[in-house]
Amino acid sequence: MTRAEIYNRIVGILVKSFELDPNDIRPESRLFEDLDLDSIDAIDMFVELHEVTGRRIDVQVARKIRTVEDIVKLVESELASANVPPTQE
Amino acid sequence: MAFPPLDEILPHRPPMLLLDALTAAEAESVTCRATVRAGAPFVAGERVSSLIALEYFAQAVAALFAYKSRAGGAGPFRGLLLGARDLELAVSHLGVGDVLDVHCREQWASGPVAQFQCILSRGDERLATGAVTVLRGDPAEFAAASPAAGAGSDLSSGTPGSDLSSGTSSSPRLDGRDGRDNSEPAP
Repeated sequence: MTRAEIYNRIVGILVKSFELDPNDIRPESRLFEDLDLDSIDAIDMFVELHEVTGRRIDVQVARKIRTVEDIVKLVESELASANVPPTQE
Repeated sequence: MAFPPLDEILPHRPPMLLLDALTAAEAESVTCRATVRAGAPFVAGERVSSLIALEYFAQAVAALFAYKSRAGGAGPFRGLLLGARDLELAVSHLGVGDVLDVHCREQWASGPVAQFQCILSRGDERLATGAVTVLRGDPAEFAAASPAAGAGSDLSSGTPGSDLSSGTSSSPRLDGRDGRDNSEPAP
């Protein structure tokens, strides 16, 4: 999945799950302040991301997410990890 | 397989203990039985709104956590229903005498937070489905550790329960979508 594909998938999740206008979503959009998500919405988003990556996102990692771009990077990283046998912690 | 009575493992007590019994439990799924009884909370005129499914789901998940906690030798714990999504009600009401199966399966979990996909059924008939998000543990600790807390948004100051209404995006369907008429006496 390319970065653009990941971004489009995430926008799709945000639009479908939270009834956002796709025109309001930009890579730099802040989830809580700009898109008006709350922490329970964030949980729903991580459930959806689990379906994209097949991996359970750690709560500590999730805490650092602020923007749409952060999610794209997280999914990229999760997908890369999923393709590599876990050789270290 | 015999399961412990729910009043041995849950803090809920009648009349708010809405489930009759734990009937199946695995690592990530649970089934409980419930009977709609005259005089039970929210029952009026021989029927109860099918929105009661949310509380059935929450208590069934609590039963699973409690059962596993006891099997592991651990003591009681706190928990909270954080919200629900995609709640779909096939009937508007349940009738007194209805014997129901409440089935919940974990579809995601991270730390103290989990989401369960839940089904309420009467025999082969599916009455309600939805996903509930639950917290296992102290709500105050979760608020301190939540992503929103770090972002200066609110979980602790907001009311998690309020998301129950906004999160159930199907609220326009609550009235009479394919509603079964429960006004006749239960068989």
